[in-house]
Amino acid sequence: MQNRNDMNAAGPELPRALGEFEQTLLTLRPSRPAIDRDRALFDAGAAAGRRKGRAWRLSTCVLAMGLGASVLWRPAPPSKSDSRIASAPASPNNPGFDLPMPLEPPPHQDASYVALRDELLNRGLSALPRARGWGIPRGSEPTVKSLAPSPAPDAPRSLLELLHPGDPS
Amino acid sequence: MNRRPVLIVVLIASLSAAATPAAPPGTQRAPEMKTLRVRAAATTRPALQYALMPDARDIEPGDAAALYLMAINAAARSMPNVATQPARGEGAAVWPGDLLDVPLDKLRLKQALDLLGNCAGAIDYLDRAARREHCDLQLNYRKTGMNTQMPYLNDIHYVGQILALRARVQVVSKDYAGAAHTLASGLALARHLQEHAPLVQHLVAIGNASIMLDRVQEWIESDGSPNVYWPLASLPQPLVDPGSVPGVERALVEGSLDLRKAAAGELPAEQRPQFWRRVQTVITIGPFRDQRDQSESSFVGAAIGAAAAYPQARQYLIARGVSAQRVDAMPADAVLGRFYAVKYLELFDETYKAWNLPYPESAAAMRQAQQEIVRERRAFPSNLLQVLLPAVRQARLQYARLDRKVALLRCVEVLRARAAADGAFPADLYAGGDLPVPNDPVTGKPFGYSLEAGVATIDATAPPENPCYHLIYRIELVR
Repeated sequence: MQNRNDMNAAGPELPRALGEFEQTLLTLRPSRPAIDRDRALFDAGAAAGRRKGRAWRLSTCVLAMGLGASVLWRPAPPSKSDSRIASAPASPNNPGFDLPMPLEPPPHQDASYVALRDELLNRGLSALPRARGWGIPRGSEPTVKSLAPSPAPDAPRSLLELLHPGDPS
Repeated sequence: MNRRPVLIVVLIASLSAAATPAAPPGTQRAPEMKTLRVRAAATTRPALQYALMPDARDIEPGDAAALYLMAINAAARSMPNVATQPARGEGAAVWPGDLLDVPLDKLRLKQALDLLGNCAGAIDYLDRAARREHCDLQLNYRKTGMNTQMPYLNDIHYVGQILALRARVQVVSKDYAGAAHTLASGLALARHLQEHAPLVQHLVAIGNASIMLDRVQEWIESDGSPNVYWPLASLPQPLVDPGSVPGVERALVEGSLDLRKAAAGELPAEQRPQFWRRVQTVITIGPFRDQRDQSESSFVGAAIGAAAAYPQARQYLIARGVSAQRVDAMPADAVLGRFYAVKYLELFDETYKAWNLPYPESAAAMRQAQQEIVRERRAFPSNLLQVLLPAVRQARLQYARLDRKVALLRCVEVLRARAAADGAFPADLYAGGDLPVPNDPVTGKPFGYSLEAGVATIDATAPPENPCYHLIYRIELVR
């Protein structure tokens, strides 16, 4: 306490060097703090909010992409066990029995009459399997080949001949 | 307000909806639009110069079946070599059906001609077969029942495509006489397939006729094509006659299962196990593929279902005049077998009773029959015999759709004729003019018609269950 009183009281004159130092010290002013507490708190909150927002936007984006993808590539409807109360065939542009044949044979080649009937009603003619034995190499089928006047593959018909039906080939 | 929960719910709901399989075909709502660009054309004289069915004078006596089978044999060996050509991609084998899908202006004529050249033998057989009096494909369904084999069925559709391709090429080449001859062969093939045939064969016949009518449409759109109003009007109506189906379908089922005896309670005890085995065989290779499981658990399930149905089966027989004492003396499988057989035969009649009426008159009755089948299946899921009944309204509708196609083409030809006479399409399709305008065979009512800026629109609505069959023709007049 004594020391404090001593310091505040106008004491004896200081040495010259210390006096100058005192004057220098008196010119110093406290600078503004580098960290503004309120600003820091606000920025911290905003940054946290941004991080959460990014995650939300990212997850929304992924979900939206998933949604888009699933709309574009929708799974085929499962085959119904009860296809009797049937819906119609196949594509809006070419429904039903106007459908072209698929390149791949459908799965039920050994289907019974009932199965084939219901598949035809549901899917139209695309339910028919690809004809068996078609397009097999010539000469590999030792059946009644001579009965059918199949033209040689290297002898294409002329347009005139083709377009005049009834001409024996 | 925090919107995140709402967004999450919406997103999850959207994803669930997207993950749900696409709407089954036939329930899609968008109508099918076809735009036809046609030129005016008066009807021809003689009216049937381009008849679309074989001329009676060209019909030869005899059976067409052998010729069709020879056509199949010839065509099968004329197709692209699947052993050396890939099924897809560059250098892929091209089949007639592939060339039917190509737009006419992009059809590669040489490719089509090469293909037809290879099939010339088959085409000759087809032309000759189509001009035979009848076609008996020797189906022995009364004896073979549901095991009846129709090995030609896939092939006959393919040879129909060969004819359709030839008609296409002939239309492109403006060979209308040749095209009419080919179309007559194709439509006669469809008519031959309808003879004493089961429903499956009729469906193939309808498909074959349909691809030929698509060629008629291409004819109508072809520049300078003759008007085929009268050839279309002179086609048989219905084009594929459904008449024989109920009898053949009944014979098919009863060829496999002695339902009459079962329903009358006359099935001897020693035959009942065989009866049930046959029921199981017929059903489990049928549409109930998931019931192929013949494990113990499936039998337990069937037993539980049968036990649940027994009291009603017993009551049903008593109500039908069988004494309670006699019913109680019967083994359980005899009671159930009789009950199931009676129910099946009743439902069969309900299913087919309106079959031979025109579709607009029969639809309501067939709709009711289908609803009754659904109710019965819920009430007696163990009665697998009900599976043998087809979706009758859906089946009958296919015949009407085919006839609608003919009717729509007739309407377009009316427009072409009216344009030839008056210089423009009429404001009212059904008023004026001397050509009879057909009603829509699906609804029994006139087609919707409008004319805007010279473009005619014919609107063929669809049954509520089959919105995808809604068809709209936009017809533009090319001058």
